[in-house]
Amino acid sequence: MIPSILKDKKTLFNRLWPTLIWLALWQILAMVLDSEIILASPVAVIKKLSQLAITLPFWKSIYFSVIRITIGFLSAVFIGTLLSILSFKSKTIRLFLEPFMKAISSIPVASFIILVLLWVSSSNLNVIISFLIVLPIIYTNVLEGIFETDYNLVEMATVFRFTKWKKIRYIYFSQVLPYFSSAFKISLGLAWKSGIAAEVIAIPMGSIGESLYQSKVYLETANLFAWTLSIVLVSMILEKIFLFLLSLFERRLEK
Amino acid sequence: MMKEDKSKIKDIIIDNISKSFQEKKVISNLSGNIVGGATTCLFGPSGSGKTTLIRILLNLDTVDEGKILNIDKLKKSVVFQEDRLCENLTSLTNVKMAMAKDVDPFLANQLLIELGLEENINQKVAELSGGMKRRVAIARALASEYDLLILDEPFKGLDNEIREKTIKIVKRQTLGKTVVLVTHDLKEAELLETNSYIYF
Repeated sequence: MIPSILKDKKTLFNRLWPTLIWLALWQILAMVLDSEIILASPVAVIKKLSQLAITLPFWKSIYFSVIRITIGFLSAVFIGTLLSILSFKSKTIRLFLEPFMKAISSIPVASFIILVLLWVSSSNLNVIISFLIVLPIIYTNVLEGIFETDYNLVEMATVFRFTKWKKIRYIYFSQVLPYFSSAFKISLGLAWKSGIAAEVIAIPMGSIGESLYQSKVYLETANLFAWTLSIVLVSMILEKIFLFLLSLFERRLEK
Repeated sequence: MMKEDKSKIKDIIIDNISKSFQEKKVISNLSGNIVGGATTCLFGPSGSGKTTLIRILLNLDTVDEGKILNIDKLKKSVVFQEDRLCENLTSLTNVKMAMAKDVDPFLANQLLIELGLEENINQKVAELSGGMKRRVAIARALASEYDLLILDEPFKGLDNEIREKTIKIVKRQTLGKTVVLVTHDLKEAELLETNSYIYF
């Protein structure tokens, strides 16, 4: 049996070597092209990012986007879950919501952004877009989870005289949780990507999207890459935080 | 456990009941007594309607004809033929969830330990073997507050040694209670000191 410390080192190594090779390839390509406008080298990007990271506007932009996209995401999680419960309870509500959910999940994000821009201010667009992208994913998955709930367990709960809350907590929550978790994980990344896409099109003042757009307009490729890298890093951190909270919730439920 | 005064516990009277599913008669004019404060065994081949009668006793189905007396107000507990456990929850949670609020929560631990699951108390049910799951289902049924306990092939899947130990625990815990046992093994019925039989 391999000791766990060796196993961890092996996992780390397996993650690291492909990344290092890609970075090396990127660096070589940048050196061959020898044009910072066409392709900034990884070294230049990291240098640019470290310059940005010590400025206040950089953090203000991150804050601006993170807060709004998170609000959109969490609202969609809450409302999507609520609507799926209502749809389970009432066939009329389910039939009524079906075309709406189908429409918003099939309309391209870009069309949505331009449409919604007609109705809301550019500074709040990312809230609405991340909300609309996440809503059908949460709704569909949670509803499916509720419908897949094992009827044998519902009967068991009836015989053992479970209260309504006990039934929801132990039967429905525990059965729906895997569906909810997978929808949560998928939509977290999508909310972030669509939110930033909305910012790039609507260019709200002081957002990450605005900085990306400015970098493109002024052909500051290193800046563009640095902002992109910061988006990736923030997305990864947010994902870790939310998944940690989700696992806490799961553990609480298992007790 | 204190022995209850049997004279106070009424028999459950099954009076000429019939039940059909899509024109197929599953129970036909069945009558019998489930003796109050004692164990009654439902005995018969597979598909003879035992599980249907259990579902009717548990209020999960209704009779088409006939009636069952003295059952409406009874609190019921059950070991289903399938375990019907919440797989992603621990053994302890599965037992505790069936307990009334005013019951000492330690009873759940105590029953699981007695049933030989002391090392599996905080393990998810999904990770347990079939025999272990069966014992969790038995612990849940015993921990719940009940006037009528229904055991549908409760010892299925347990190896001999564990089965005998489990039967002893069930016997001790259900002393003086009304129990309905479904089994294909008459030895199990004898070990639980069955007082009466309903044949299908």
